[in-house]
Amino acid sequence: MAFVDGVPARREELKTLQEVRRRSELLVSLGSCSSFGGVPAAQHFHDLSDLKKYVYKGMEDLHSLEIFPISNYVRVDFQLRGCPASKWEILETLTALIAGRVPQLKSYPQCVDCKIRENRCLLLDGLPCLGPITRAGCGVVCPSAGVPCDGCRGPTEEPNLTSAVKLLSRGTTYPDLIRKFQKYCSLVPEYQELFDKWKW
Amino acid sequence: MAEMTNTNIGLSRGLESTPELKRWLLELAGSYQVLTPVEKGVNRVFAEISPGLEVVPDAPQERTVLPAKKAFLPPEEPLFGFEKDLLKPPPQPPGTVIFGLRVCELSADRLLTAAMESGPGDYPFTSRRRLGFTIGVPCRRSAACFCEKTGHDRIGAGDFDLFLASSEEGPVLWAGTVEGRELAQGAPFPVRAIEEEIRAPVPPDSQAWPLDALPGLLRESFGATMWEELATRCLGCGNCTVVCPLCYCFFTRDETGWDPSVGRRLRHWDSCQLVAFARVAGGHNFREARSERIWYRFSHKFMRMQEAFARPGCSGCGACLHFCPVDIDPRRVIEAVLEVTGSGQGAR
Repeated sequence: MAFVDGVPARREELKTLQEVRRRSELLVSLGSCSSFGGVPAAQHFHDLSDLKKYVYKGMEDLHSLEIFPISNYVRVDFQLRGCPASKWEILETLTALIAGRVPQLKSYPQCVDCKIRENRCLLLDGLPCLGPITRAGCGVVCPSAGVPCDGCRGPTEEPNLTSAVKLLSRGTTYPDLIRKFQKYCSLVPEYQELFDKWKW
Repeated sequence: MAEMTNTNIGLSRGLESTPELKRWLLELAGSYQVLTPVEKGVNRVFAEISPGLEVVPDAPQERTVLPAKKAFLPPEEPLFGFEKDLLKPPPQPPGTVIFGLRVCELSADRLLTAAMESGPGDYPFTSRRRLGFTIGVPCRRSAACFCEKTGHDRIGAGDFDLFLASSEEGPVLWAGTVEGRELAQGAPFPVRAIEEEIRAPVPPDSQAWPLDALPGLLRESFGATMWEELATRCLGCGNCTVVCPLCYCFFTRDETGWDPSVGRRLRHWDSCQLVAFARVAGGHNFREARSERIWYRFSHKFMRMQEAFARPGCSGCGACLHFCPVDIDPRRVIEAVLEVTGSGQGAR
């Protein structure tokens, strides 16, 4: 069983990934980058020469592959999302597979776990919290510390995007809201309609 | 604000937090787990009393995030442990005293207990509830509450253990049960027996919804466009059911260790508003559309619980509205049901 963290950004890494797949029975993508693109996938919405100028200063000879989740290249048996991945999910996946159970990961929104912790609701305070459309499982780390959810775990099942965007637009500008979605979820299929309407 | 109808034991008077009250509750904490509303940041929550906490029976923030049901039905609890073929019972629950319940909360507690005792009974809940005591306090109305619409604006004397209210001679503890009277033995307030029901202060001209007719009307409203309209706004976040004093659906899961023969079975609160709630093995989902799930929430409360217990599974506390990010108001939903079935204001 192999855990793969991160995405291939260089040709050698792609070869390593394929070799890991060949040599393992089960392959688990660990974290948001390998699972659905994460932060590096934001490159799809920016000009590469700009990125080289501002982000990778002094590394002009950098040659990066286009960033895709590892499922783009190899078969993935389990996905553990999050930035970083959740220790509970890692433990549940391992112990479930040892016992021959199907790992029971949460697919519902953060709000459920956040209410159970009796946290202050940041949405009621007018802050742009992605909790209602983001998959639970991290233990609502950020909202519990008073920081709005950034959506690093990707969308919940069937998010009501139209209503969520309307709600979130109240406390932020539209470009900032798009940036928030694109921080981790540039390649997430559920959010593409949002990006199609917005070009930088 | 409209003048409230007077209640029999002076509920419209505020209740002050006194050192005697806190001392008594701390004394009870020697023998019981004592929960009381306290401030947690901007929120009000039921928490175990301790010397450093301030007891706030009558605070401007009208509601706790989680209802008192969490004492008897925790958000997560082990049902049993196992080691090879040996089953291990969960730890014995403590006796619990919940202080600071409003009339609608006491009423919700009775109905939830009735639901959990029905049929074979829910053992983990009933074993905790049997060891539990409830102490009521006066309530203030908020713009979001509507107990007079649901009939949860009154509570029979046998349905609570004690009720602390102000009177001209100071605070009085009204004892609704024999157990309550015994619990009050060391209390620093005069204890009186009460036989009549206690009523919440409600607007004088208020009228309940046609609760007996609602089951039929909800059936009739199935598939109406009002549910689709709600579904365009509803985020499906589950807040409404988590904060509801009368939601009790749950799911179970197993937890195993590195040695797979050792583990435990847990149950967690579930929510009918979540996509996976009615999904079964094989992947079929009995309530695929969000609109169906919203209809189901209201029909469980105003149809199924009304039919089974002659009371709706909505206490009118307004917590779901308070915590709904998109302001879905149960009053508007029921009014829309009356409207689309031709039973609204105009028809009556």
